[in-house]
Amino acid sequence: MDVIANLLHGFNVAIAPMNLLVCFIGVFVGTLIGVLPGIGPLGAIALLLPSTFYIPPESALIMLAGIYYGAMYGGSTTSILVNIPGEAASVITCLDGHQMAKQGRAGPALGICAFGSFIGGTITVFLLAALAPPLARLALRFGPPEYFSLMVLGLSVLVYLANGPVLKALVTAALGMVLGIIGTDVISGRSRFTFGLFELDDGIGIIPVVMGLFGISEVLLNIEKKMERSIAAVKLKGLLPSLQDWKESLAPIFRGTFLGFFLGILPGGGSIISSFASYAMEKKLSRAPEKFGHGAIAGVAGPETANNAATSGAFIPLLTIGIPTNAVMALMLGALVIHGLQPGPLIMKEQPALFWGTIASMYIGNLMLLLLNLPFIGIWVQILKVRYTILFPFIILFCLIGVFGVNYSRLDIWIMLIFGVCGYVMRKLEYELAPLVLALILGPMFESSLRQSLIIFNGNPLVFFTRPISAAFLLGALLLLLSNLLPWMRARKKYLADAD
Amino acid sequence: MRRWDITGTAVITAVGVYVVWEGWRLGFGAFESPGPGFIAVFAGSLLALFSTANMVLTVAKYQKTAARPFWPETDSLRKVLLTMAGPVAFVLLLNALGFFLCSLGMLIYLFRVIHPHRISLTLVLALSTALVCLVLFQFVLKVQFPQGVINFYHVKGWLF
Repeated sequence: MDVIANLLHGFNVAIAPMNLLVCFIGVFVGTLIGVLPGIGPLGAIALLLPSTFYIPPESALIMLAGIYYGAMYGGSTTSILVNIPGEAASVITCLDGHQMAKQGRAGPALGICAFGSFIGGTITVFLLAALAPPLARLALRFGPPEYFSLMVLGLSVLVYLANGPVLKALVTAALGMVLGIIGTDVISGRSRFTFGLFELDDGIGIIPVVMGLFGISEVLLNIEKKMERSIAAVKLKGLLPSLQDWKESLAPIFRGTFLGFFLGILPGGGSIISSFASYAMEKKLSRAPEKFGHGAIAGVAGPETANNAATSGAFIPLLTIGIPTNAVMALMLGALVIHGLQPGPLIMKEQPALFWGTIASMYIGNLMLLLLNLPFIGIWVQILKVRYTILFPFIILFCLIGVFGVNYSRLDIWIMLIFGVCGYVMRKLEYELAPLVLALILGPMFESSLRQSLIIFNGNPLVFFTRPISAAFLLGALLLLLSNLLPWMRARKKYLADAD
Repeated sequence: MRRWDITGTAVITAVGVYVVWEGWRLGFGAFESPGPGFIAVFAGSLLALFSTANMVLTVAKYQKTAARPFWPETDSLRKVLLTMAGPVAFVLLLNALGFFLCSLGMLIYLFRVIHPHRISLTLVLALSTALVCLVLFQFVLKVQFPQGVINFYHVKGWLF
């Protein structure tokens, strides 16, 4: 009953004219950057972060959340029509979505994305409202050892689900940890790895690193070769999926909703991983797995629903435990901190308008996306036709403005450019960059919870294994890392057998 | 690509070793009272360890490296360097010239150098974008850009 009353309060906040306006701006900008390859939700949120200084915190979060799930929505359009994912979470949609477009079924593919995302978004709003309060109560029982183990689990999830070689994912996670050390040590007050630059005393900024690794490197990867885009023809009248399409998509949509939501909750989870996991699951469960990769609508419906559901799930750890599970959530945490708020178990009591208003706005935002995407798909297609050679100077300029606008620091621009080149080289060498970003975000929390645990428990490292919640998290992390070794050992066995 | 892979792992291993050394210098402390270099020693060790393992596997050809060449086209490096020159010049000249002139110059450069567009299109796009960004970010969102040679707050004062 409390949940319904709280949600009603949330809707009351979300339908305030100011919040409706920022929600619309958020989903519109999100869809736009989702459609345009090269900038992504991280860059857009970083860019618009300074603008949120002048609006109330709930409006700020509503707008940033709108950009996040709007980008998930928009990303599918480029995946289907051009075979270029507008956003990393839409990579998997290229496989079947573009095949459908080639077969003249771009309309139903886009339609099912919109409906799937809407259904997933709607269900997860209620899951979020139901699960957040008990989780916040559980989080009150967390001490430094539990926080430490939770972060170990988060990093393990990300390494486990890495696309490239596992060892390279571990390297990038360790590199992110190292970057997280930069700055003043909060316990001793000593500067670490700052090289005499006082701007680095507060640590290396997440925004310049992320915009360099993902924004600038993306531009460089696109610019180094000729980009050819052939946009599939879309019949605007044929956007509604047929009865057969619905039959094939309904189960994947519901499975994608729950899978995406729960993967979104896990640190290191999120929309990218959930879309890949949903695709793998649908292929496994399908009666005709051979159709996957050749235009199976289930291969579009499941992942697209899952990535939208994951965006809602990702709000749970942020708003209840105060831990961002991915880089986008870290920026949202930054936005809240700028407004003087500390996300955590008490935020629900202290800032009900912010918490429930944001949750309710997601429902309204999903409705706006449905209205924005289906009737206006033609406009988004026109935007897609803009050549990349015209687009990339704008992306670079917006990255520069976005990075400079946060701290007014030229050093941040240099950091972005350096990480842009590093990201470009690392992506070519198949290093997974998501573990780096998450380790950078979690690094300072990881360090403080580890050191606090050791100081409180007289240097006894067994404390992490004797406390049940902490032990459960560590066991989960160990199982994940061990399960990664299995295919490696099998391959080695085969290799040795072949050599013999 | 394998040569690049090995070079990359060597660089990362060196970074890991440096972090361990610097962490030790900062003070490792003890388990009961970890020092400021405690986590640096651990993270640096892990970085060096994983990267060395990666290098060993790559050298032993046990780990697959991407089959495609590092530079996909003959002029890829040139394009990347020319593209990066734009934002590098932007940041170097930002304080001296100010935001408007820097962004205008960078846009004209980027529109012309990689895939040259018509000069009229270039000027229209660059000028309109620089002006819109100036109004939106400097006057609406109050981002404090360096003014450089043209102080647009004075210009705004003259106009309104």
